[in-house]
Amino acid sequence: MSRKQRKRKEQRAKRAARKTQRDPGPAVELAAAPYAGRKVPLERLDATRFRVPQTGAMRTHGVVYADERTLPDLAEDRCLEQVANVATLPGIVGPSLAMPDIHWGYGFPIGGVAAFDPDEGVVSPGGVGYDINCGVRLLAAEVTASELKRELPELVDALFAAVPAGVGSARRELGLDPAGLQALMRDGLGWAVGRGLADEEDAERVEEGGRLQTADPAQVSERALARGLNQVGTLGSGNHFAEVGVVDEVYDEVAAAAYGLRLGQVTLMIHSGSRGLGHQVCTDFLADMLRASERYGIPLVDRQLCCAPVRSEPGQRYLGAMGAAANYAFVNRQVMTHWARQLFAERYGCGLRTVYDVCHNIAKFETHAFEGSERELLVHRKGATRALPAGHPLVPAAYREVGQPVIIPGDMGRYSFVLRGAANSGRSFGSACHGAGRLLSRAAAKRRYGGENVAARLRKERGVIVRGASRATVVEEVPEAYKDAAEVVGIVHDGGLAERVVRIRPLGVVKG
Amino acid sequence: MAYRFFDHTGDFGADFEGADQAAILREAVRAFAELLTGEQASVGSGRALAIELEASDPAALLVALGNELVYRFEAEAFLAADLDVQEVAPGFLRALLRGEPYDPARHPIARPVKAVTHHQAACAAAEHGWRGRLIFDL
Repeated sequence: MSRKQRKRKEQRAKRAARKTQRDPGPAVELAAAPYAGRKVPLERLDATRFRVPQTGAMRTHGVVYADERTLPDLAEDRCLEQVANVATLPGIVGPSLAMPDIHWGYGFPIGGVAAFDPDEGVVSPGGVGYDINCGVRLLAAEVTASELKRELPELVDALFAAVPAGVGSARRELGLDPAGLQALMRDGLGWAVGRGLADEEDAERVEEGGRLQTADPAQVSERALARGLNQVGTLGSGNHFAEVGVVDEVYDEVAAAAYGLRLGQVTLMIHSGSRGLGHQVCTDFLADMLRASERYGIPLVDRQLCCAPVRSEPGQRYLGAMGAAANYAFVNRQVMTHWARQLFAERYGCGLRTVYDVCHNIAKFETHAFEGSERELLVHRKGATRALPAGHPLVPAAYREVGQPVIIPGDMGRYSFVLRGAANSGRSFGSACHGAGRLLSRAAAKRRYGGENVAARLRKERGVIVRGASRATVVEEVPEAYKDAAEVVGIVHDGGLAERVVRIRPLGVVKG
Repeated sequence: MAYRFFDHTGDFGADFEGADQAAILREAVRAFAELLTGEQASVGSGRALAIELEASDPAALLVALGNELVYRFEAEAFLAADLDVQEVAPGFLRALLRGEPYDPARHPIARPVKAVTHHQAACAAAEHGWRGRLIFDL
């Protein structure tokens, strides 16, 4: 055998050994989904709630918030099957819930809420989603709409420049190095306060004070760090936006006053999350959790529902990484707030006060009343908003008498809403909807509106100025692609999960 | 073209057909390039990047390849257009990704892809050849 042949043989042997060492385990076999290929029946519970009956591998029933107007939309995709699929997961407490903005997601539906017993239940990255702590912050500006209107196009242009948008968008002024990024993920909003990018009042008005205590940056992979290093303070793409608006209707004077909102008030809403870092954390842990599901004997009806027991080693590692990514997202929205504050101060000499900042995609340990006793539960919200009622100790002191602000963005042409958490939110583990919910798929929106200039139409018909990083995204995010937020909010209001406080009309939108 | 896009409410999916597992993996790279840039044909393939991936089965491997493309694009500005498969097994891939350094002037982003999901992911032998499916998170 020649030297070359020997070398090739050695290389082949090394590769074979490497494959054996890294043997990822057996293939994932899927169990039968409860309603696979069948129409999901809905049984009416009351005016706003429908039951998905327990069948097959379901461990509990499902409850969907809907009414006559939104009911037909539920049959348009496979979201109800997903409500049933979530109910198959071990340790689920109470029903598998769906908020009225429900639509087809991956694994969990968008608009899904599920609570798990920390000792017997599971944690699932698919129950949080790729964009960990995607959320929304509402800011109030001390400038009138008429003052602002004259310069609106310039303001939206300046906002577009100040808040980088689009996939992979980056901003390097923060000069973050890997050690700084670790500190940011550990301390969340505290990191921003320490650098003059936030004040104490910001921290008080962000869910969890802007820091998940479970964060463990050591669990975040090198790849996630590489994606996240230069993306702090950037909007991202898809349905993310920064929107200048005006309060055009007040439903609850007392709560609006508590939130510092009044008729004609100019607002800025920022919708973004943990960017590439959060996506990579989810990607990394889905691969881990597929193996963990096999190891712990958890039957899966959808690979994206892969999970591990909450107290297990992979479960704890995921919660550490997810917490770190969530803290990254809190800081991301805060840094964009900082850029926007500089802009408003320069142009109008006014401030931007944080009204509140809520998570949409998260799993958190929370205490809720369930069947007559207080229980600590791991609540997964995938496209849902926490909505705590008046008097709850986790509501900031300034808002405790009226309840937690619940910020519900609509589409970029019609309106958004601010609500307050209400008494019946106990039925949904303190949760409400997170937006209007998609009505048309992206492809359908493109087919229907791809031939027109959506931005020009919005400006002409509704006076809304739109700047987008991608024309395709603007078309796919056309207002008609979404349900009417007023209908969705109406269900939440009538169901007693959260009550209307104000409506906000968009003036100018930066789309990712 | 042996891939076909389909609607998913907030996102996009793609179905693949090919003679074998390697062909499905190649089609996934081509579909990714088209989804991202709006067209695949004009993306160059002059630069090669060696990759090695492992997963629990062919479907998970297909997802892993998709997420490799996302990472290489976002973190390293490498736009892949094709795949030279050197070694493939149900849960293992060694290959060269062929593509070009990303130039936004040449290839404006049509649809930003943020991740590739395990939801409905499939890659298996069918009656004639192999079939695969991925759903992309946008």
